[in-house]
Amino acid sequence: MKKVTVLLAAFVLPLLSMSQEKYEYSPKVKNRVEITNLLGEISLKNTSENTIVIESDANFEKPERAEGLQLLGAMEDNTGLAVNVSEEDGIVSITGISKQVRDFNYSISIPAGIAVSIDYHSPFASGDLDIDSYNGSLEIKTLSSDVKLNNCSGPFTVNSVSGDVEVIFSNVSQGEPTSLASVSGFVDVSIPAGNKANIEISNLTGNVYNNLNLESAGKEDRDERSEGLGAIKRKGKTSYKLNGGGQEIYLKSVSGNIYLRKK
Amino acid sequence: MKCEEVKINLPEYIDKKLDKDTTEKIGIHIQSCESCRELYSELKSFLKFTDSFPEVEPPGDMKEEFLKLVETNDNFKDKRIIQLPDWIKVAAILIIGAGTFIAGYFTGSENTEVAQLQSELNSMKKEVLLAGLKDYSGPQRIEAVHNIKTMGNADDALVNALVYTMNSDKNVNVRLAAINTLSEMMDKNPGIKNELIHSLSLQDNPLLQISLIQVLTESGIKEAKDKIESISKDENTNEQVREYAKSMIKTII
Repeated sequence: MKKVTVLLAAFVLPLLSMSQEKYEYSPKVKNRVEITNLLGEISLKNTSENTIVIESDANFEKPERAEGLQLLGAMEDNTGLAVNVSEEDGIVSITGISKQVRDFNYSISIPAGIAVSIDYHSPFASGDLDIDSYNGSLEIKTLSSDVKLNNCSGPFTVNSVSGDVEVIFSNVSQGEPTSLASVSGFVDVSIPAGNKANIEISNLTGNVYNNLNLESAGKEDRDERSEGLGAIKRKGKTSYKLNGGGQEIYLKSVSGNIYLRKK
Repeated sequence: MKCEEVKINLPEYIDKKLDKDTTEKIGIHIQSCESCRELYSELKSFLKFTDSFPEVEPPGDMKEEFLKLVETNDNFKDKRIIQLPDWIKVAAILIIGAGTFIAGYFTGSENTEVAQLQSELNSMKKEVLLAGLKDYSGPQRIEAVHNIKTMGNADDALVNALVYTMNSDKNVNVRLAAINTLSEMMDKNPGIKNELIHSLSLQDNPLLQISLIQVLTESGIKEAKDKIESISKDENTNEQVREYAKSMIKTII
């Protein structure tokens, strides 16, 4: 009998505690998703369905004393996951309604073709942003959290103050430019062989390390002797072409290093 | 008629600017399609609302909506940029426009005609760029900002649009792109210099502060010295920005 209890405890309890709540929403207009104040662990993925699905282990309980009271100043929890989902002007907003959301994990599936922006720019952000296999436009802003985009195609705009930015492209999206910037974190970019891009690099005190076959693109880098002395321009950035040139990738760091690698 | 087509033409339909045939087709479609009817009534009430307050000042958080900026600008009053549906379609128009121009050029049209076509093309190009700025996605706005570099001219409407982007876009990367583009247009429009200096006191993101200091010091703009000096002493400023300001101030004589 004891064995049975132990077995039950070993198998059933973890299942119960890991139970994922699920919320589904079908956007009226498939245009854009904005994620704000959701400072827990977020993982994003694409889905071929037409609905946004949020799954979470959120277990948001009011303190006993708050029985019968409302959370002041907060949006309505219309998902049961301490998250408010609303849609206005073609923008679906996914907003954490309480500071406690940072204790939970959120897995969000987004229909393909919708641009996503995540505002993670808060000193209270608990984790890092780890996004795997997302194809589409992503805008991310963090303060000190690291951002890792693994096997994604973009276009991306990522900005961090002290976090690291790491992007492993599955394929450089040729539709729109990518811009990655950090003040003191590093910027690390991996690009598959054969992908075309124009890469513009700007950094102040950090170094740039590279094993891509970059060709210099700027006119300033030609032999100035043959062109006359007037043409020299002082600029804090340099441009390169990769495989003949393609969509723009802007990389900027102030004191962090920039790494460019073959995937 | 397909829903997509109807949606694109709705603003013109509401303004009664479409030809009879299209107007009729849309009218029939709206009666039968609920989602388009919903959009139509939403858009109609929205346009009615905006028309009733033509002079209303946009709230601070809407400054990046270039639509507002452009609508209040006299040069663009007659041109409804709101109708440009999205970047790609607009780019297609641009390419057709360019094609028309080149064709005109090579068939040896009168010089005046060429000039007229060219000015039409330029104004079309400008609209396209401004339309891109009000678009919702960050990468698209970056592209629009960088494309302004290729325009060759730097008139005040474009510069104003870029200054708004630099100071109030919510995406830091877009603001960064605007700083870059403005700094490259500096020798064409002397007003940009003052806007960059002014922007130093508006930015609170360290990356943007550093980028501005970099642009101003590397271009040797002496007028920025006082401001950079005060940043280097301001304890509320990010330490890295202060350090950088301190070291760069020596390069401005």
